[in-house]
Amino acid sequence: MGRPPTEDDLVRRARGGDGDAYGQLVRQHQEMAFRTAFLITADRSDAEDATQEAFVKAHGAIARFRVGQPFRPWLLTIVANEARNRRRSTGRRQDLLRQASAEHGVDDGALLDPTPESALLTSERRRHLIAALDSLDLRDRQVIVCRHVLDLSERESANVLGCRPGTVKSRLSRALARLRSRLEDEAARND
Amino acid sequence: MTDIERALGELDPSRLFPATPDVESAVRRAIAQTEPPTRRAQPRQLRRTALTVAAIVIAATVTLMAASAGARSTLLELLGLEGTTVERGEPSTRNERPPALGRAVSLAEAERLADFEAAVPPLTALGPPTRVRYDPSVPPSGQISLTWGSLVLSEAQALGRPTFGKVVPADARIEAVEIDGQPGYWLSGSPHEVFRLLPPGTRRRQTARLAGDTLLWERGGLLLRLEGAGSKLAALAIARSMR
Repeated sequence: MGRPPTEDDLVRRARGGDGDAYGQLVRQHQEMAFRTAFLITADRSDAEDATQEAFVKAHGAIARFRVGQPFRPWLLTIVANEARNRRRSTGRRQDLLRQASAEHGVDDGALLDPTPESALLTSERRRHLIAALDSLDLRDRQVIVCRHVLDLSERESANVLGCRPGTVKSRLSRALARLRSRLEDEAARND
Repeated sequence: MTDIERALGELDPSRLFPATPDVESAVRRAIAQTEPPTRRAQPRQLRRTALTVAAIVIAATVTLMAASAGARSTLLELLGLEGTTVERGEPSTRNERPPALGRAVSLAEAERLADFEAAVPPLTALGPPTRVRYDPSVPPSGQISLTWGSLVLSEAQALGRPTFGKVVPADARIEAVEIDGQPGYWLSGSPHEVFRLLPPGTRRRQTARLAGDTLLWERGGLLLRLEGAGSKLAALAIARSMR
């Protein structure tokens, strides 16, 4: 009674066949799992399928999971594999941010800003940043989004991108440099 | 933290990604239709013990099993290496030629073709590979092989279904090992037969060959095979040096 179950509790119970405990793990991690899958598939229904399948596979393999380790990095590896299998089968070009922004329509986040001037500035800056991110190639975009937008750890990003953690670091710094130069080019054009 | 990193951190992911669908009920339905998880949910140690016992039993009854063609072991499924199936039996080939590993390319080119980043042992362990080869015929995106003389490290993305089969003779050993917390196994003793599996499990016998002592393990979504390391200790040291 009292304290809410920890992740270890949930994993232990799920291993013992407790469907409610596994359901709770799914609820806790489905958002990050789906976004990770979308980062790779750039398609909402493929990402949803990959997420679903990954949770089913993770459940089948949960006996191999080490209790005491964080669940998310392990899960995200499975999610990324599922997502990659789907991307390869469709050979779709990635348009992550463009597609997502289109779905959300205009940037009405500006309405939350205190003054019209700062609102305009903020929303313009955001729009430029997203456009610049979108103009990067897939690898650059993925590593930046993993680390700075989804806030995944270096290890988790490595699992998702299928590379070594050290590579995440070097790839990220090159990608940020390219992002900076895109933004500077854009600024120079507007001056 | 730079201004760009700060600005990126302020982007709201819920505005960049579509709304997250609720997959819980679909997952629970799918799980309910599969086997009850309790059967697979034994504690790890117990599973290992069961595995060892199973290996001994398989070895002891190998003459019987060798007679039956369908005596596929679930050893690897238990271990978690789903990219390979193992049967006990007498290899049907005497082909001892080195494996056909595909054409020689640069590492960068191989990685581009295979669409994954190869796991490479640190230079201090082995030095740069003498050759890198890419074989597009291994699912799902081809196989990258790094060679240092007769030492061969082959890598392919791990699929949910097996892509390689192995026939292991009675006097060969299958030993469970652990590499960075991931299960793997060490095949040693007599040469075993390796062949490609084509979906749905058909064999392409012309790819069959005899392989020497081999370490098999999974790492970061890749199925890795190391052949020609000379000893279990050397193979494990190479595998564990990879970060």
